[in-house]
Amino acid sequence: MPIWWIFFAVVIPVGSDSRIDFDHDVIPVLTKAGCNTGACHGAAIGRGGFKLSLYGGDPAADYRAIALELKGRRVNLIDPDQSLLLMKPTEATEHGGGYRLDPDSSAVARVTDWIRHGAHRGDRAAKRRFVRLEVSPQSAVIRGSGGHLTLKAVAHFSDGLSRDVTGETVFKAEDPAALEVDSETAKTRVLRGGRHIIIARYLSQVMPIEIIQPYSDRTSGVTRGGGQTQFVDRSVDTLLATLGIPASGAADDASFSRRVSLDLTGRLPEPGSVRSFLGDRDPERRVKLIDRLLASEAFNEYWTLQLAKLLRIHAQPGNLLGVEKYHAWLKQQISEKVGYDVVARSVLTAQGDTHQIGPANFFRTVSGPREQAEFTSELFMGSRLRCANCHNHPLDQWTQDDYHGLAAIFARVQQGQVVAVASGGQVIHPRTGENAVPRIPGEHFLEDSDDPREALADWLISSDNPYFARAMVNRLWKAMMGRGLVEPADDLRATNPATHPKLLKTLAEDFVGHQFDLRHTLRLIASSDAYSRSSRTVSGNEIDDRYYSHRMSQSLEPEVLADAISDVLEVSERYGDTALGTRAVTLVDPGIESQTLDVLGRCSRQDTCETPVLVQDNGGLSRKLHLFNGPLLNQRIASNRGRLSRLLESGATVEVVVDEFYLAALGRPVSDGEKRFWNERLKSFADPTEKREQLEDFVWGLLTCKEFVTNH
Amino acid sequence: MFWPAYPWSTDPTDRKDRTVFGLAGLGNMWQVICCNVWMWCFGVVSLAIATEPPITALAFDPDGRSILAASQSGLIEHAWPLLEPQRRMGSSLVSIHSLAFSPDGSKLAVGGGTPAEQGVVEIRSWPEGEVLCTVDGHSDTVQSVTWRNNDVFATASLDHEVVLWRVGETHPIRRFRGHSKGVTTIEFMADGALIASGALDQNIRIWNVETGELVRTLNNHTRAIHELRKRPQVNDSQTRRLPMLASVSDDRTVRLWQPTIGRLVRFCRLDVVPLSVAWHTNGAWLTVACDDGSVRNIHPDTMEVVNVTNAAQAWLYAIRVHPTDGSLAVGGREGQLRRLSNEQIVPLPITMP
Repeated sequence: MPIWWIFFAVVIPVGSDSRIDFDHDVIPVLTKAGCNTGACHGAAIGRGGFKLSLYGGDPAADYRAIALELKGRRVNLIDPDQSLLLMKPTEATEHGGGYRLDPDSSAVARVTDWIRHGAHRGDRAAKRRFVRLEVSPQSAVIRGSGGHLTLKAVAHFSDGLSRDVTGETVFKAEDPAALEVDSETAKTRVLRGGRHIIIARYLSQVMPIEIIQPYSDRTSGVTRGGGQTQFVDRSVDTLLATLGIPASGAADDASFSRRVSLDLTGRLPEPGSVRSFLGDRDPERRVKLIDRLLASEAFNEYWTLQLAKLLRIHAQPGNLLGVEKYHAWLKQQISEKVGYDVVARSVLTAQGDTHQIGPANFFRTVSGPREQAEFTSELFMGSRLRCANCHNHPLDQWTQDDYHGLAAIFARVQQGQVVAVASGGQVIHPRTGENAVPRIPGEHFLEDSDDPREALADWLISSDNPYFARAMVNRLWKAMMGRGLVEPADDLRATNPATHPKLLKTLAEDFVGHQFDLRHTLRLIASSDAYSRSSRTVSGNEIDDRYYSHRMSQSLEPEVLADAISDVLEVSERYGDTALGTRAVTLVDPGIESQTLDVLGRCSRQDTCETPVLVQDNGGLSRKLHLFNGPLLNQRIASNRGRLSRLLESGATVEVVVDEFYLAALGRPVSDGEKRFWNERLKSFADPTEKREQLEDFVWGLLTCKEFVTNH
Repeated sequence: MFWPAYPWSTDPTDRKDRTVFGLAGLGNMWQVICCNVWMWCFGVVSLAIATEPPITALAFDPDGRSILAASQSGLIEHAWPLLEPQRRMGSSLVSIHSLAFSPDGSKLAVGGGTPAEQGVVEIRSWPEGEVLCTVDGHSDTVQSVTWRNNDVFATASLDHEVVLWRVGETHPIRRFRGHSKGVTTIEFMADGALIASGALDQNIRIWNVETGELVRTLNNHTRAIHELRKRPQVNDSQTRRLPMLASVSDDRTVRLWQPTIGRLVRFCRLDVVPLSVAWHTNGAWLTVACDDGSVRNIHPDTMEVVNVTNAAQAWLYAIRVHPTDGSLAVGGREGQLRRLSNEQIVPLPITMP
């Protein structure tokens, strides 16, 4: 037998291992040049007949598209320079995407080399796995105008290789007007003060880089703090000091009383309670008030509404009975102080007749396993997986396997009146065309089981789950402080970092450590100095809209505002066919007939009710016009059964009427200046009818002013 | 010089299959090995073997004595069945994607061009191989060329068009416009009265050749269509078959159509992507070449995959059936031309129904 074949057998494997690794050397070139962005070939349908995975999320598909499809027409192995892959971005031939690569650049040289070596995917691509990206600095404070720094990125691979990939990493400022990043050198210049984020992207990983330039040299002291809330105030104050933003002083007792009452119970404090609180000299009066509110039935009602919005509880046609069961069950969980983890597990694993088993209605909220996966991830993980339906998430870690794997967990759930887990039911993975395998997102595929929801629930509520507790405490923080540590609150991801990452982490740990007790975390936040700050700005913190240097005012929710109007006027609103006097926050069905709630902009709960902060503050033109001119206020102010009529009939003086309405609507006594103003305006009318008309105008003015329609 | 598929064999006739690398300019594998050894010794391991460009098109010469293989390195004629390279024909085309002999075997159409710039067809005399004329009427490469008769042929291009040409004329007879993406394959039917075109837009369109009208669209495929092949008619007065068109697609299906009435007759779904399709000469078997390097034999009456032969490790772009001996030629990404014997690929006796 001749021996020459031995040489051949030895040489072939060597020859097939090219120096250039497609996955780790070629794809970063395409990403850096912008070829695989959503606006270019990374679009869902590609561009110009050439489709790449978004930001190189699927190297196998990209290799196929570049080197194999259409008989390999995009690479020319005989004359690499003539490859379409190079001729297009260098504009050697017409390219709709324009000039993307310098023909003399090292990037082009690398791709050319790859083609020259056979345009293989490379054996190393299979052996070497990108592990993580390290950027430096991860956070920096730059003082003085015109300050700059140079970023660096190092990639670490599974075979132990570490390589400087600064030149191949895409650095993108979230706000290009605030930061300037040179794409070649990664030199970064700050254009204006504030906290800014740069997103670094290399292969499948994205990382945020925080750059701070103080607004001023002024620093407000870090809170002396103490006790349980110390970590909250220390975190908030430290960032304020770094940014040079002064903090406003503490709100007065009246403001605090109204604020905490609205935040914890969705109700205005009653005039008697206000008087009592303002007369209390106990240094612990605020804590006592918080505890009293947390223990109230009003808290149960209001936080049932809050969770009902999160769970998107709404009646499907013909399923009002189910929704009533669901709502009643939820209220029971709140009243009995059941942990949020238990609530989550109950709904995730529920089955049975939805007219009998309240939490089973969770599976009638949306239809279809993919929608259920999206809903579940947004609700319990604060994460938007939906991008990963069509491609790996461009700004997060989620892959299509994660999305369709989570959907597969719900594929067997029958979503009729009786929720049951069937023996069959699949979700097709669009990339493979095969049945998706149930998967814990970002973790592992699941073994065959009768009900994979159990494994999902166990994972979600485990103490080391990185999403569940964070998502909830961020929402609780937002409910109390007016803005989430992460905004939007259902979009937690590495590239949307929290303003106070350590605070979010510590709050989550504390939440877990206290058995996912909502009341505990709410109490913690309400007791902090940061919570009790005045909404009045001081010089230097007027522009702050996210660092909690002062209280952020927020519009009252539609249900809360409707109840507040009824409470102040003592004229009830009727909702649908419910009994007169039913409070809006206790309504089960968000679709119940009510023009008042419609014009105030209630959420139908068909989709998420979590709105961005700016939208929330606006309130909308329709709402304002109805408040100014509509029957919502005018008819009820003129009612002969309300608070105004009662006071006038009792012979109350103008001063008493004014003071009573101030306490009822604004939760504070009328000030001396206001008292003088109203006396001058209202005292001169002797005719009772005329006097009433003037007082009605006064009430109208009170109920349309910003101080009333906001929680501040 | 013949290069056997199995290097331990010294007898080229003891194997049923044959493999040859189309190493342009090197000529024989001893030179390759010597070169590799030299490079190995001097540490130039990454250059140990030059990568051959993929074989993108195949065509048997009309008498079946040789096979033409096209790639970015040009056009090479190999003797059949030993696959010895016989001659290399230079071409002005940067890429070649299709080869087709005229019905009388006197002309060879070579379709291709420069990607994203130009689609060209060279008409060559056969067996001389000299370029008689070229037609340049597409703005992207010609992916498929087929003859209507000895003078008229059609081209399909990634510029979305199908064009009808007459040999010797520079202006086309007719353009067929309607596909929304590149056209990858065409086939004349009904004695040249109709032409079927398959495209990246997932559709097969049937056109009236004389009027240019779109007769119908066959839209059951859900991804790009790679190739169409009509079932050969048998010169047998006892056997009269309906016209049948086979299509292979990125959706992993092989479909059989009765294109004259627009009926999807039957189909099968594979676990790999079929890239090229060929009918055996009597139309009794259908063979597809796939993206995993396998060749699969399918019974057209049941669409059952009868056997699978692993012919390569990578994508196979072209498969053709020898006109008389029934064996197969395949080529693909590895730049490797390979013969598969009749016994290998069709284990069952081939008899006319």
